[in-house]
Amino acid sequence: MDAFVHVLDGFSVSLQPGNLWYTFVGVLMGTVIGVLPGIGPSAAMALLIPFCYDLNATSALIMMAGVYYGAQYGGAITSILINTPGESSSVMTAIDGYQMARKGRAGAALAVSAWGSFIGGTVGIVALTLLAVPLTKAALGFGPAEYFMLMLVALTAVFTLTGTSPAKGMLSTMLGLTIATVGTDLQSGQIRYAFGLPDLQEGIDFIIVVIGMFAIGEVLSALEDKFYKKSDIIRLKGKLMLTREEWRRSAKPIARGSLIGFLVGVLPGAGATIASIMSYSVEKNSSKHPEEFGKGAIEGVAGPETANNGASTGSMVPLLTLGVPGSGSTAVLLGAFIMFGIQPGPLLFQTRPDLVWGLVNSMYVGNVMLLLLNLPLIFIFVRLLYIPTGILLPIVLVLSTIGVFAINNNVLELYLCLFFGIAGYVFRKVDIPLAPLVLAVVLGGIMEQSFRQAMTISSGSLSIFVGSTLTIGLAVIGVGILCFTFYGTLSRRKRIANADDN
Amino acid sequence: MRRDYVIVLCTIALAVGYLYETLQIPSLDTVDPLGPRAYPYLIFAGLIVSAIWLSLETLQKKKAASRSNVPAQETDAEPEGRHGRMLAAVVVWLGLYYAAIVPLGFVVSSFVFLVGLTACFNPGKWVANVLTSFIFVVGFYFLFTSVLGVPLTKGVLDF
Repeated sequence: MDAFVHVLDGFSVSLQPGNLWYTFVGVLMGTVIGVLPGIGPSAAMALLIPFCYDLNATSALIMMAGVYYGAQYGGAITSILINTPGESSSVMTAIDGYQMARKGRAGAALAVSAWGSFIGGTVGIVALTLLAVPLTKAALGFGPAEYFMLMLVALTAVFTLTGTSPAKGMLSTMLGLTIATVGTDLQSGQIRYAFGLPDLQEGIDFIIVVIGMFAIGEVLSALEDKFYKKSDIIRLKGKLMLTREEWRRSAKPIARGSLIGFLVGVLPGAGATIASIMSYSVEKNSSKHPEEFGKGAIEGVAGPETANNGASTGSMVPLLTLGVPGSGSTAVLLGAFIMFGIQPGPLLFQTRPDLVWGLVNSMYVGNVMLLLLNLPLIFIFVRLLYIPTGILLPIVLVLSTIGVFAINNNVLELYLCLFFGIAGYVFRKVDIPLAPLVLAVVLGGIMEQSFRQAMTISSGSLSIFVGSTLTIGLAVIGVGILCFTFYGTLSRRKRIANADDN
Repeated sequence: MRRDYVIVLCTIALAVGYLYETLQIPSLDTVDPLGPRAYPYLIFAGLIVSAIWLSLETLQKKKAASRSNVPAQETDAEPEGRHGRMLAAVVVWLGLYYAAIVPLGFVVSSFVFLVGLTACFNPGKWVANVLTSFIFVVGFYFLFTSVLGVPLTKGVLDF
């Protein structure tokens, strides 16, 4: 009953005029970010942080979450009109969305992606509301050993599922954990890995890493792409309406996409991109006309667009209930929580129910706002595609500078950010995924703390990590993920070798 | 594939450097039973495991490529020399901007930085570039300093 009261109280928080305004600003910026090239939701959320210094935690987090799920809506616009996904999760939308646009059905493709995103997002929030309380109750029994194992499993899942090579994913994770150890050891007060630089004694702020890796790295890649790619924008004509037949064909893909999106989103590492790929393949395999896919099938837009929004909501489940993010974007959101001195997890539902339920319920409102923004007002967002990237990308670099400089007015941190920017660019070139690194930077400190607390409890015995049913279960899941990855890699190589022999 | 071997070598070098720095941490057994080096040792081990895993992956790729008698392909085409030089110039320009931000101030340094970069990437549109740079820089300066309360350096404009 208490939980129900808290949920209702959350509406009173999310419907306050100030919070409605920040929800609107967040989803608006998210849509814009989704449309604009050269900057993704993770970088956008990190760049927003200096704008939040003056806000209360609830409003700031509502705004940043708005950017996160809003970006999924905006990503579809570029996929459909210029065949260039604004976000990786919109890659599948481009396949059939762009073909629909070429056949003069851009309006229908955009309409079905807006409706699908709305339904997928809303179903996800309902499921999040229902799941949150039982999950937090279960998580209340977690001790440091359980938390350490949980974070280890989350990181393992992320590095095995992100990118093309699990080994590079693991390397990325280990680099992130290495960065997280720089600075003062909180338990002994010793300064480590600071190389005699006083500025490093406090550690490396996650904002520096995120802005460098995502914003500067992305801008450098986008500046290079500017010389390779020339995109033609298909003009948006007619009404953003679906015919009765298009509604009939989209209904089941939207329903399936909602379910796939949420379930995949809850899993760490899987995220919106994998959800949209899975939804696309399910739709293609279950279709009576699979030959239409790739040539403008509306099911190929409805399913993936619904799934990526369902996944972005689903990924809030582990973040809010366990305090463990499952993707780069939710890791940035966790970083923002920590910046405000708030640790997400089961205790937060008891200590700050207003914040948690205010944030969750603001997503209902945000989804309605996004539907309104993306149907009648879509013509305005389409105009953003005409902004020259030669102006836009340098502006992102200045915004990145403000974002880092505003933390401590420290020039060394700017150079550190530039270093991470170059590293981000190089990592993209050599296919090292960035999300595991950022996730590890954010989780590294908490993970070390949990490890050492567990060691103190067990008087230095590592058996504590297999000392309860839960830790054993988590260890089995972690080992299972690793075995599955090894098996997948080996069998793929065997298949390739056999195919070559034949 | 050669670049993957370079990554492996860099990872091993980083792991060794990290281990050396870890050994410099004074061991205070009174703080926690395994001491402050235990967790960094785990990270060192993780770095080494990832380097081994990556070298095995690369070896397998090489074997598969040699079986099919197809030369191993790099995943991305190397950027042409001109683009590489262009990106290096952007990085140097960004470095100069950071060096100038305190002595010249946010407004002047950002304006010069933006005009320079837009002239390069949006060529021939001087009026639009200068106007956009000016409006953006001045607008953001006032937004941050007056509305959001985030101080930005004044530099030469500090009368």
